[in-house]
Amino acid sequence: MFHKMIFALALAGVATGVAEAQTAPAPLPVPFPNAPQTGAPAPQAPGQPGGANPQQQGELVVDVVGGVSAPLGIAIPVMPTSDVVNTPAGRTDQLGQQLAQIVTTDLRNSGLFKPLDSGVKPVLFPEVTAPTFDYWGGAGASALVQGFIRANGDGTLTVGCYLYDVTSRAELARQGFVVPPSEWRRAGHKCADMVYSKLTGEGPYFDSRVVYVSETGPKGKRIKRLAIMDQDGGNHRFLTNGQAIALTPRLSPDQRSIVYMSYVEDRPAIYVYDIESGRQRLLVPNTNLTFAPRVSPDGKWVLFSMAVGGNTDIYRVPFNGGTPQRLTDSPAIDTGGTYSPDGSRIVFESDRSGTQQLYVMNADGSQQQRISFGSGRYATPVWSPRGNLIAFTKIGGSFRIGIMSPAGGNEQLLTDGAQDEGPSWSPNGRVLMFFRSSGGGNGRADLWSVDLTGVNVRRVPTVLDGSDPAWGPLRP
Amino acid sequence: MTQRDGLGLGLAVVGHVAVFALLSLAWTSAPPPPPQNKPIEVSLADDVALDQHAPAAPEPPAQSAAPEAGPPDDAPPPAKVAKVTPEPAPPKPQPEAAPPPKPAPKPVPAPKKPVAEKPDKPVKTKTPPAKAAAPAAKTEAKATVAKAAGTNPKATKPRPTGSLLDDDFRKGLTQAPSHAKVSQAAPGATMDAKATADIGSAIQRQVQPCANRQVIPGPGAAKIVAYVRLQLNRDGSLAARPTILPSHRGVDDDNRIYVDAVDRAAIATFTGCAPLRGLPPELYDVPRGWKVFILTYHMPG
Amino acid sequence: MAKLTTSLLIGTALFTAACAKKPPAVIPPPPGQSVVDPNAGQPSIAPGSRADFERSVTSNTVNFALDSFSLDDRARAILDSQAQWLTRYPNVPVSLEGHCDERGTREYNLALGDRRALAAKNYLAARGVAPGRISTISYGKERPIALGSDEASWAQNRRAVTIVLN
Repeated sequence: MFHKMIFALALAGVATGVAEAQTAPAPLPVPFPNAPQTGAPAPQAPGQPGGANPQQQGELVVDVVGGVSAPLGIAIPVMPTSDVVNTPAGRTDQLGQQLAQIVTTDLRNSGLFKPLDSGVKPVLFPEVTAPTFDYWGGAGASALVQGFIRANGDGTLTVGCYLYDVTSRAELARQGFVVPPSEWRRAGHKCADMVYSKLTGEGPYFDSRVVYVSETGPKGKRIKRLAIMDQDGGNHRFLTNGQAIALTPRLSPDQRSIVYMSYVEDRPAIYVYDIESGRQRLLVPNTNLTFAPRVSPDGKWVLFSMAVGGNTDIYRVPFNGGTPQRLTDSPAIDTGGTYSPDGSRIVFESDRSGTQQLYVMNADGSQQQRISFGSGRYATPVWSPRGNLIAFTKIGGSFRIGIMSPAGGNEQLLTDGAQDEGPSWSPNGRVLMFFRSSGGGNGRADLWSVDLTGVNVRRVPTVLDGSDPAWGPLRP
Repeated sequence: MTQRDGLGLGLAVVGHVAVFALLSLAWTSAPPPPPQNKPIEVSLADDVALDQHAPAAPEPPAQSAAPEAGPPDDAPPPAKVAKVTPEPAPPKPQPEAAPPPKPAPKPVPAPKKPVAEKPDKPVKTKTPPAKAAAPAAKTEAKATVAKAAGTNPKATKPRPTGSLLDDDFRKGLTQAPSHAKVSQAAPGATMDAKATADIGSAIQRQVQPCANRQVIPGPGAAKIVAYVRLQLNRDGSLAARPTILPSHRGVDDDNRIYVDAVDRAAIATFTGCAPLRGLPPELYDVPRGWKVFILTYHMPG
Repeated sequence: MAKLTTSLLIGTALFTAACAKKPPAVIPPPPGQSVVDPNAGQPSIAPGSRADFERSVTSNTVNFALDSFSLDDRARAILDSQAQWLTRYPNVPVSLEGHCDERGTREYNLALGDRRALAAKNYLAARGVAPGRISTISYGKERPIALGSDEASWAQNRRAVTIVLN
């Protein structure tokens, strides 16, 4: 378990911790969007110069192999407040409870942490920076997250977040956030991200949103609405009224727009929806069917599919509109293109070989190469934000979510549902969200997620049913 | 029986005989004899030492080495001395080896020195010098000491023995303590292959439960090998902060983000199960002893 | 008397035989799809209307094989009967909807539904229907008419539907 930090961090952390405890327990608030500060120096004590092979030193060498894939025990007590104050977001003591709950839920849902079920005692304000390690260790926690919330005089809230290693009794990280009341939940997600990144090494992903198609109604006349929510389900909002089917949404990288396909006026086409104003504009004004839009990483282009004369190909058009440029021109169905994280390449699906397979090409359409060669069909490719993997839907009797390397090969299936499709990567490339449909006359679709290693397959709770999830970037 | 019958019978007989002959030949010509095993020299030693010289730690004694010579003055011919498993550190009776951390520049063993340092011939016969066979050496030493008893550097009685152990030699004998580093090791204790393996597995056994609890952070992390230098006190507890050596193995672009987590897990593998118990104190402060050692760690998968 | 009975019987038989039109070549459209009033007793079905269309043609729906957009013989026969009606009322706009079954991914099925709609449209155009009056729309797998997850349901969902727009 990650419960022992190396000593350098421990000593530095303890020193600062002790110093803090002796003064009023107020950490350094760091307002958004500054980079996190961990208050501890670089973790590694200086090693041998030159990094020589240890064997050459003539020292005894002991080899140890060990490790387990299991969640880490962590305690997250309620975040106390110095004064109970009413704020537009609620009373600060209740906010403290809910903040701890947000952190707990985020960490638990990642599958890598096991928050304590019992023994989570209330923590008073002074204890936040002077934890009772013996108690928490006895309760089974290897790590401890403590924090506080305070209403500032000007209407904003300050949330402090501390991460401790229980066994070495050291502070590992701390951050503070000053937020307007409407964004108080983000402070909880940022705190969870700090804890998660420090202990796992992964990038953060909890402070992000998901756009998706909310579904309700009977299978033959389903109402499909555009919706947006925080990745944990909070702050859910419907963006269209359901009178026209909405499909295939994507967030723009600057998170100000959603591109999606709507059947409004019985003309299925791509619209650019401005989140703040709620207004939308038609992206490509002609009568052809346009769908499956994606915004390029630099925000300049929208990649999309258009059917002309019965032939669907991949095009791109400037984000603000213009003349579409054709990128594929085979007589097959070419669709579903998505960009690599650096925007230089595109992966898409095409049935030009006879069945749906995955292809990679440059962003200008050149050098199209097939990368999938297994048995079965491949669809809906999405490139990991880390750049080293492509996720897809594998069709062969059932629909399953899989991953492969961008050159093809190293194929691995992550889920085993009957109809899992449409994966979307979390901002740190560690989790995939997709939708799973049940069959039969009452069949419904729901959002699910799975860890990159194939563990922790879980349903993502949504207000109604859902499909077509598109995970947005980390919020700054 | 007609002539034809007889002819047929004869042919049949001849044919049978021919077949038998062929078969016999086949037997004789069949398997070539198995190759003979050349005899290999096998030495049945209980303990194989890596070091075939006196341990470096004890400094060369302050005394000068005398050429091999005849028997000491008033000692019976040490005909059996050659049998002594020549202990590098002067094998003394137990009490002398113990607490007083003085090396052995006592006069008594001095004359033994030349004998003990029987030159390079000993390379072969020395193969069984059990460093750990100190007890055996001690008994032998006792015997030898007994045999060499009475040698007195101050004895200057000349003897027409033709021995080269003359006055000059004796002048070289001093009681000045060797400048060797003080070693608390039992005489003859060094980390040979067996001790290394024993201590290695003793340490590994004790930290294994902590290793097994470390959480694998993500895919590909199992390829990373981390090296931690640990310094222990005699009681098995940590004497200083563990240091991670900068060179890792198995890091690639895909698992680089997990290096920190693997490093922390490597240290936690030790700190969670410290202090270590039951490690032999006599092998604490010897070269490659367990006072300072490298823990290499990686996760399974 | 016997003769009368016999002739009555024969006459009735002939009569009913005459009135019994050829059995419909396709399954009657499921409820909700058409507003054919079997009695046809209401005189308000205007010629050239959707109701008129749907009671006049063999079917407003053609079906496809899995992953395919080619028209088989039966589909062509149905489209022929549609073309007959459509050429009789040349000013009536129609929409051709293409649909798929649920065993494809969402975006691919949007493209496939578009192909099916276009395949039917092109056939009608070849039979004399002015293509300008035919708009196509693909619903992919989003609007199934058969809700089960079995071969029979899927076969029904793989279709192109001609809708008269008035």
